[in-house]
Amino acid sequence: MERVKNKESKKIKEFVRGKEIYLMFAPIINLLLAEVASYFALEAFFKSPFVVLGSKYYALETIYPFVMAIPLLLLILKRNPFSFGYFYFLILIVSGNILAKSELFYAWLDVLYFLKLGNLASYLNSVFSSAKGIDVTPVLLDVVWLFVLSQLIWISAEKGREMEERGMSAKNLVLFQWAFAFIFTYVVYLVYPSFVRFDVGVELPLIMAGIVGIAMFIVVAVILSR
Amino acid sequence: MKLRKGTYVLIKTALFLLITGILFTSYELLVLSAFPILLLLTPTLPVRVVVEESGIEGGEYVGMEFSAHISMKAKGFGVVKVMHKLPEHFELSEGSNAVARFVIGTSTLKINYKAIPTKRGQYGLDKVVVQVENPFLTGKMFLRELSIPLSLEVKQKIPKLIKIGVHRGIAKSPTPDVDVSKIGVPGTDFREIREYITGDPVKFINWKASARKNEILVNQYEVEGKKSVWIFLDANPYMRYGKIIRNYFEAGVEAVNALSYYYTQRGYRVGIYLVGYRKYIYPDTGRRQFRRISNELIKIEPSENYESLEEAIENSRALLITYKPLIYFITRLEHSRPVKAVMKATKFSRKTRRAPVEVIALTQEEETESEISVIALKTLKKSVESRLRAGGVRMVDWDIHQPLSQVLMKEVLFG
Repeated sequence: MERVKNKESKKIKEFVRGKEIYLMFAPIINLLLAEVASYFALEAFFKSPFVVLGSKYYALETIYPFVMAIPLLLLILKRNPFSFGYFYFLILIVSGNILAKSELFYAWLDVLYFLKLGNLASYLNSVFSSAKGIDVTPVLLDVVWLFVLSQLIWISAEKGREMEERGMSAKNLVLFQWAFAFIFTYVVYLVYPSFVRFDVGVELPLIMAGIVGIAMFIVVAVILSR
Repeated sequence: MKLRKGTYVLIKTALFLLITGILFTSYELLVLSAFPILLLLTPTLPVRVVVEESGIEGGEYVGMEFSAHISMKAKGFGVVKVMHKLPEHFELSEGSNAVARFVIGTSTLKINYKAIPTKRGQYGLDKVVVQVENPFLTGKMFLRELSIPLSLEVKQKIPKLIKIGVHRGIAKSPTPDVDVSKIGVPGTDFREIREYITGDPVKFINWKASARKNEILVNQYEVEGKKSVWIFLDANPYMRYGKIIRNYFEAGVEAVNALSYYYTQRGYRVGIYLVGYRKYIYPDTGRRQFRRISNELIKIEPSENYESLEEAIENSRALLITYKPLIYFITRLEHSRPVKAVMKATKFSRKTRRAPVEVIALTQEEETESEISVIALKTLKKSVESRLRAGGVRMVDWDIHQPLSQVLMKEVLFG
């Protein structure tokens, strides 16, 4: 037991003294990126119809620390602070404004009308349609950019650790990769809004669009489940 | 095809945005799903790598550390990983034989490491593998090999044998330092006067003695050089058993190296026969002969084909009759069961007296085999051993994990 402890402490000492200390920055950078992304997502959340719905029952301001604490918790658990799960969660809390513009959502409201729940349907319609004008694209772009950047940093750090374990020095490689990832993704992030503004229109009969949509949905679901 | 992690993460993110976009019929999410895909389109640009300098120092013997250095210049843009390919039997002791760098424009790559060869052989260390990737490690990977003029000849360390025992009571003088050869170039030491035989040089005719006896007599001189030593090294497939670094065959090679060094240094003619390959090196003396034997042994591995020791004796029959050598067999008794072969060898040399034959029986503590098979093999070995001893053959039992010189010295001291 004592020998294991000594080994551990020796490993830590070597790590601190050695060249691998730069790898410690990867989780810290990811934590910062996750916190910034969660801040943007929460800002969007408080402008979404969900707040109107939820604030009746609960003081939603209190979720701020909880959401912001998740990356820190992941870091303590030695996991990637900006994990896929956390990214999904951030997209989910931004989805209030997305739903306000979603055809599918209004189709569900029609279903509610059909099910004789007209009051609820018109209430939801009044809440969500007021948020139709909010442009959620910048927030989504921020979150996606920060997430992609964090993933690239994480993968690069993992590779760097593997190489260091094999006795190769990876400091130059990893640090340059981080810098390149930041610059490149930032350029794409800056250029992207003009790309989004392109008004691309494809004329397809509705039934065809539906079939294509369902087919894509199935393919993507299969790929994601693997 | 295995997806690389970077590619997988970007595709997964894009697909998630796409599927959510379809579910919510959201134009924003659909458009954003292209964001990660754009990063996947980052091309892998070619990077040119040129080796400027390379060298190796040390490592001539098994277990002897060597240091290698390779200096390269890279031009281009991307992630470059370079690895100096090392053979299977090399162990890194310091540094790394690979280097990775993010190249922007021109960059110098240096590989410095120390390694230990663990097996004898002729190794070509002439390959450097270059791998070029894009900065996100997502796109196409370019792989190519560069050639460098590096090679290493790793010899086995020759254990210094201080003394090898003699065969008292069987041979007249099989291995003493004064023993001389039967054939060879005549020297200047006079031995005797004998009758002329067709083919004798005229200059050797002793005219005075011939006139006195009224028949042609010639002077006989001692020939140069000493007795011959003939080593049979068993290279049959069963010799492979053991670890890569230390197995029966490696031990056999070590023994041949040690014996041939010992005898060639003392002026004996040494020849070897590789059982399993049907290959031999003619007996000769001197440093050159030792080098010839040692170079042959560097290249050799246990044979894939089987050859019995009896066949080996038959194949070298002519040489054994000509040289009448001291014969060594280096083998695993329980597998080769060399009783007949050894008896045959003893009869070749002399009609009246048996030739000196010594068997070096290789052994080691068995680890993997079951207890019954170990006992069976031990019993078999003991039976072969006792039959050989009964036939007057000298035996040396060598545990291959013990130093050979110690075992041979023990034989000298305690018989």
